[in-house]
Amino acid sequence: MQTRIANLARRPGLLLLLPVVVYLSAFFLIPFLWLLRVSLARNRGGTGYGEGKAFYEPGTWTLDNYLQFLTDKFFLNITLFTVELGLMVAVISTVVSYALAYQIWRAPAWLKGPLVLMVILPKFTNVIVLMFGLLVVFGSRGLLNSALINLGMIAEPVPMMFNLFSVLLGETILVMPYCVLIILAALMSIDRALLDAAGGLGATRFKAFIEVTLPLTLPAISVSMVLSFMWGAAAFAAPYLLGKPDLYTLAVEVDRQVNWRLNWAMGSAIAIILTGIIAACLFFYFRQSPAEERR
Amino acid sequence: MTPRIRVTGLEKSFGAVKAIDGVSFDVAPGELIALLGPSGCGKTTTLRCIGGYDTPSAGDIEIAGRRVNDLPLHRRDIGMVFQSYALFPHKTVEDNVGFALKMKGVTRPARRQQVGEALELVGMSGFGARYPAQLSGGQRQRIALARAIIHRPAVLLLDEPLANLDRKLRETMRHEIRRVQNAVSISTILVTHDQEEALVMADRVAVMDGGRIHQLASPSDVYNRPATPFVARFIGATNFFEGRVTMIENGRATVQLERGPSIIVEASDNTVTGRNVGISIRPERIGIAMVTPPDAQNVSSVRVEAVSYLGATVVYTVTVPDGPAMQVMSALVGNEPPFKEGANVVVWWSPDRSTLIV
Repeated sequence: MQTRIANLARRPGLLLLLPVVVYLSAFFLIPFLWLLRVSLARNRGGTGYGEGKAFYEPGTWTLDNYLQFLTDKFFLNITLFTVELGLMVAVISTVVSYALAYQIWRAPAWLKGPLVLMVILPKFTNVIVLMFGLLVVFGSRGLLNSALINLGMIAEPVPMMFNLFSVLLGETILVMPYCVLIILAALMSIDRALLDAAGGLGATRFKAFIEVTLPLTLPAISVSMVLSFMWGAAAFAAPYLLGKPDLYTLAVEVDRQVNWRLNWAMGSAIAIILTGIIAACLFFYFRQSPAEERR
Repeated sequence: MTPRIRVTGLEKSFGAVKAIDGVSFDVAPGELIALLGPSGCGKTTTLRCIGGYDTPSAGDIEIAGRRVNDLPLHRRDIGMVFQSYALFPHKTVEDNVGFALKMKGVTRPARRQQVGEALELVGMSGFGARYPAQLSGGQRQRIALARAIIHRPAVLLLDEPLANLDRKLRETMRHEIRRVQNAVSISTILVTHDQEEALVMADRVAVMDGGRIHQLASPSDVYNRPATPFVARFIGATNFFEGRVTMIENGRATVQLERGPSIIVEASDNTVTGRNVGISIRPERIGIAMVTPPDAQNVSSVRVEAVSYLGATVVYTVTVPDGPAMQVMSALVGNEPPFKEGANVVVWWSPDRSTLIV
């Protein structure tokens, strides 16, 4: 302790960390520990409305919530779907984002700025507005279906909302801007001379992509996958607004437990489990990839 | 012998700017030609057009008798060493060097032997398992060279290959590159802004400026017989005078300088009396002494204005009374320069040491 303080005295720059530490403690660490505590409390039963009491039994310690989660098929199915959704979002948004980032990278310089702007434009909008915007376009009476019907290409509207497609679409749109930026940054850091060199040594464009571009963007691809998995597994808005009960995720279930069933203990337990799944994913990612990339 | 590379009337415009404005030259089998010039002279653009990295606006490029203008990059049969080396950072030395063979579909076991030979040629045996990041600048340079020649391309293109090396290493690598190039006997085009590099390495030097070749000749001709004032000034240091031809006699022209004495130089075929000409005389081709030696020509009495001591040599700045200043370089036999500032000495040079530029 003595040496640490001495250390701090020698490096006053460390004081700059203080706001971050305070902020994260106040708004993340302490609430999280409280959540963990509530998840280990007994469910109070009943609504508790009008009694001025918490929606759990304070002061109790039990693993019941976790045990119930692990033994109830209902929760396991939601968990399974949540992980599936995370994986699907990871693959779809990484593939689509790679294609998009690649085109932006190859675009003429004057077009790059506008294209990047278009990619991040959805982030200027509220999530709810964005999701209902999709409804306007893809709903049964939405722009797309109306256009197709008016053109005589279909007789009945194609159901595009409130199914897996709409959930994936909504979630992908939320994640993609980040994935595009991550992959684009990796592409832009590639020395163009490397591609010139590959071409001069007999590589077609496709082979140069496979031999040079793809391996050099592999770290960005895995970051994009991890990020969009985390995002997809924690999905709330898209499944809630554009899905239906059998497309609900753990995050939606947390909301249902906390706000509808008024079972805060169970809601907390599910939140902890969801956090655990995502933390495990991050853990494996960091163990797989060495901190120092070869260069 | 048919040339391996023939460039005819090459032009390249970027918008309104002509980067190359009518460049033509041939490269004989096994020959090394240096494109030498200041930055922006069009040398790199010329190289990139030959390699297929840029598309010429006009003109033809033939490699081994075949017009390659419309051939895409990967079918041109070239090897190129980039200024940055452009080694693939994620591949080992072995995979870098063997890349061209892999693209030709040669299997890994078959590649291994040729890679081994190429590495031995550049003196890098045993480095196959390393990554580029684990190599020094000079080693990367050698690997880049091995990678560029392993498939025995028709043409080797070197784009400022030594620019990123320190001076000592650069001098070693000049000879190394030339040794390897001779060993595999590939026609080579070297782009450089370093005149010493061009003179040491090349069979012929093309001095470029403003998108044109000013002179394409052997290193000694480029140095001793510069074809234009630009070449005279760009290659080495020179004393450049302007004057008017007053008399031509026995292949010698007498030129009255604008300021100062008249001097005698060797006339070229197109020298005519009354014409304005330039004269280039290298500082080291001028003699300097206290007294005029017998048979000396173009003798002037001058005053030493400045002495620059360079260790092996000394450069005097001298002025002719009522005439121009000039630089005179002489090798130092003793430890100290024999003439001090303010000394009155004579300088002279033989007519065949100076070049008349029309």
